[in-house]
Amino acid sequence: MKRVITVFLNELKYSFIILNRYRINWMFGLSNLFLSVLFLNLGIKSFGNYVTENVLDLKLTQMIIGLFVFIVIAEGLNNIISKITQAKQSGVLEQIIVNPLGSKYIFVIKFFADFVIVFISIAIIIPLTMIITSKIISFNIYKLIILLIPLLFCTLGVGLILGGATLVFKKLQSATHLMQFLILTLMVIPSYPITPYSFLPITVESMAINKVFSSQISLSFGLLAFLYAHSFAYFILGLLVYSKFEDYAKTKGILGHY
Amino acid sequence: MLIVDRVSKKFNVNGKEKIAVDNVSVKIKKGETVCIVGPNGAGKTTTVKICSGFVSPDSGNVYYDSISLLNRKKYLEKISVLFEGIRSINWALTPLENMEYLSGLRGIKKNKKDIEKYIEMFELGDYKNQQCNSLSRGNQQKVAIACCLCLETDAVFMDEPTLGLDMEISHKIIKILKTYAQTNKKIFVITTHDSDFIEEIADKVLIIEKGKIMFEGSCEEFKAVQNTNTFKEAYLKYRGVL
Ligand SMILES: Nc1ncnc2c1ncn2[C@@H]1O[C@H](COP(=O)(O)OP(=O)(O)O)[C@@H](O)[C@H]1O
Ligand SMILES: [Mg+2]
Repeated sequence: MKRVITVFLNELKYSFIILNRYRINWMFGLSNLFLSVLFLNLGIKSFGNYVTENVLDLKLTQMIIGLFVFIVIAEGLNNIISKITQAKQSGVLEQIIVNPLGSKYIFVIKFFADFVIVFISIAIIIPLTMIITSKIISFNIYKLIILLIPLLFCTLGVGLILGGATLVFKKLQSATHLMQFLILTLMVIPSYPITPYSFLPITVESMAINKVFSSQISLSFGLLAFLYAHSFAYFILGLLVYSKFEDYAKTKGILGHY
Repeated sequence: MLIVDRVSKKFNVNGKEKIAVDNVSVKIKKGETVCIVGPNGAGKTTTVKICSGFVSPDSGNVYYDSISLLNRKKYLEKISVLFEGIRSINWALTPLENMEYLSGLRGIKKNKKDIEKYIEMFELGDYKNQQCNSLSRGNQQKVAIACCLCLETDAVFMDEPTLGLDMEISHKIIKILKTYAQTNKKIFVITTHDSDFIEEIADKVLIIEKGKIMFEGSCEEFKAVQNTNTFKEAYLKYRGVL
């Protein structure tokens, strides 16, 4: 455990060092996101002329929450995959694979260390969005944490599956821009009350955050139990699938540079 | 002691099976430096990758002090590896940061003094705070080797550590590694085409061809068998080109 903490703090420290070294890139990324929010807002507002106040209000709330969820998922998945791709290019992947702690656990630790930075971005973007849309959402931080945990673990599980796949299928990394559509699709698939779609990854986790924070449903024990079981199942599945991909790549000798 | 026990590895190349490592067995004692020599495609890199847990063998096993390669967590604790050609460092970081980062990645917290020791050893003092992507290839390679050594594992594998470097840098790296090997009782396994390297550093030479060990012995023995003065001549004579 002590080692895991050392690895985590080390990752965190270096995430900040790199962030600071490439802060311009980071700021451009943020402004990009911010601009899209502006346009979305304009879109919803103009469409607002034809609907009642209440619907508009709900739409704005959902947009802000949706944005939050989208950043969490997109950054989470992107982190794992781009970490693997970058590590591959620099040769650090080799060092991660031969790490005694096991590469999958290193990627899990990296995922959480990166999230500290993602949350800083979110802490900048979301309040700005609320100001622009003049729609302030007050939320209960405990509720948020309780709902965020399943979202993170489910995202991590999917990230490990996709990350493992990029170890074996090198071409996959050029398809990552398609991922955003995949995420958006998963986010809007109806998954409540529990339907067969609810068993897809991410769907039910993001829906729960959206509906609870826009006060459409209340948080029940049954829903929470389902969310935790569902997301941890995906996390475990992610670890297993990643291991299988890594083992396959080790047998074929196709890891990293060849 | 490192024991490589009847290790074999085949690859599938365009539907055809190709034997990369063929029933290789060798025992390496603590404090020994072994150089693996052989023509391109002989299976040197694959051997190193198997011993460092990067490629799985089809059959056979590797042990470090009776810890099996299959007991990955314990086994990998004992070894560090420098891969061929690539410099396993983070380009966005400086040499100092790289050493701290890569140790940290294995859960080892290094203090500044420890790291400075390696900076000094590799004469990287002038560049220690410069991002690695702006260093020369030779200095990048020094950083990669320093990162590998600063993990302070019992066994160190290096795949062609002087590949593509100029004579001067190669010479320096050889000297540094020689001093290091003499003062630290470790196992070094180095693949190389550099005959100076072998003459300077090898306690034992393994010559491999088509995945098989063809000779195992000291550099002196090999020269005596071939009846030549230098390793280079002996090797070329053995290969039938001299
Ligand atoms: N991942 C791989 N897939 C297919 N063939 C491989 C792979 N890795 C190595 N080989 C083949 O195995 C043989 C040994 O390669 P290698 O160990 O790299 O040799 P060396 O390092 O001695 O030059 C070569 O014929 C090479 O083409
Ligand atoms: Mg090689």
